[in-house]
Amino acid sequence: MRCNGCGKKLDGGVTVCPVCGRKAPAPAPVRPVTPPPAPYTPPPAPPTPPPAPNTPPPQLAKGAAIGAKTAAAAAAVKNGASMAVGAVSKKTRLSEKTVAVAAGVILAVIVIVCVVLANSNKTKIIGKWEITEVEYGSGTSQVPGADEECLFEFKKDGTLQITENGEAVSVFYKVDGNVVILSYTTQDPSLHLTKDRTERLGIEKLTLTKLILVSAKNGDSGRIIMKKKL
Amino acid sequence: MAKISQMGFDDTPVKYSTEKHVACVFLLDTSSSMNRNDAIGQLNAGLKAFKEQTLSSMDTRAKACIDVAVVTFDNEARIVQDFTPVEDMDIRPLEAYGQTAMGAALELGMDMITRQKNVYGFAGTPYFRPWIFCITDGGPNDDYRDAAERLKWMEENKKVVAYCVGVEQFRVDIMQQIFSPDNIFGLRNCDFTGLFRFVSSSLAAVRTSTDESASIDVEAPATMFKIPLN
Repeated sequence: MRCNGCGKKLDGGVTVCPVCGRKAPAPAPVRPVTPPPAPYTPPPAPPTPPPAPNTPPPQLAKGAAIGAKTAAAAAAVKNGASMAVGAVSKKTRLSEKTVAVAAGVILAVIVIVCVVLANSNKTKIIGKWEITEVEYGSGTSQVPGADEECLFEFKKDGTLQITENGEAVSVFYKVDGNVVILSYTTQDPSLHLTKDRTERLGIEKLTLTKLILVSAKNGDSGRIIMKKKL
Repeated sequence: MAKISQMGFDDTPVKYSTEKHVACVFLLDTSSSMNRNDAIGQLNAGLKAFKEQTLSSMDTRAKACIDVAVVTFDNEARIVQDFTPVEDMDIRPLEAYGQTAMGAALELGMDMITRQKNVYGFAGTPYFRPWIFCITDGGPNDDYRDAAERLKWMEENKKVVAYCVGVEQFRVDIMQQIFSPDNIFGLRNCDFTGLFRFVSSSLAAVRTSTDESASIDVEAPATMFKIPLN
């Protein structure tokens, strides 16, 4: 390093030239050197048994050299393996993320489907419903007595069991949107069902606890109001 | 009671500080080889002649503007006369002995010139490019390479003009490593008187010149000759 004022050769660390008093030039910037990675140190080998007495020393030296080469190769292999493992793990992380997202989407779809299905009339209608009131088109209504039991039980197998005062009849049912289509085979004229006939009941309201079916038969509309029997 | 040293406003370290000054440092070889043929005696006579001619040929103002310093080098470099106007030079007989510490003398001379330029600058005194006059009959015994590099740097940066005058069997090859080949001269018969008169005339010419870069026409002594380039 030389002073810019008088050319005096300056030692490192000098900030001011002792001859002319000028500020010493800044040393050239040194590019930071990244320290080399620590060499692989193989784990300490287990104590080897003493060599056979007839083993010549040159072969021992050769063996040591081979051992060193093996250690170096092991280090290289380990480094390479580490790199490969790093790449694989990166890919694995990516695929795991993708799988997680996909699983989340699938789960959300399933939940939505379940919710939709759960909220669908086909699902919600399954169970036992107790008739609380029957309204006729003429404006009159009928409430079952305390000792009377009138139940509609929609079963998963597509059968509807109608129980009135201990007497039950089964019909087939099918939910199509807001319509319940009944196919009955009973011949009990008290239920106004005739053989091989179908009857359509509209679903006016269907909740987890309440079901209102509307009958539009022969222009005479009536409503069957039911509550879920737990 | 201690006296307080006071300096008046006119007591600047530079006489005629508004006039343009020229500084010249003589590096004189006082090694033991200078005892041959009484070269050292011739050198002492030359210094006296230099002072006498300068004082006699210039007016008071002009001779006050030539600041001269004398450094001798044998086993070491030492300041015999620090920068002072010619009229104040204290010329004492020089003795020759020891080795040739020319490298140290060059460093010392360059340091002195640098400080003298600072003195000029502090006083607001304009100055011509300083001179270094090295007179030797041999070659350096010390490490001169740093000094040579610095001198080259100072000449390239127009901070100094250096001349070398050699007598007897001086080491031209080494001088050519230190000085510009155009500024190396030989001197026959140890004619230091003629040399110093020439230097005095040259300084006077420079002092009165207006263009520092222009060549000055001063008749050199017949004993002084240009060293042919290799």
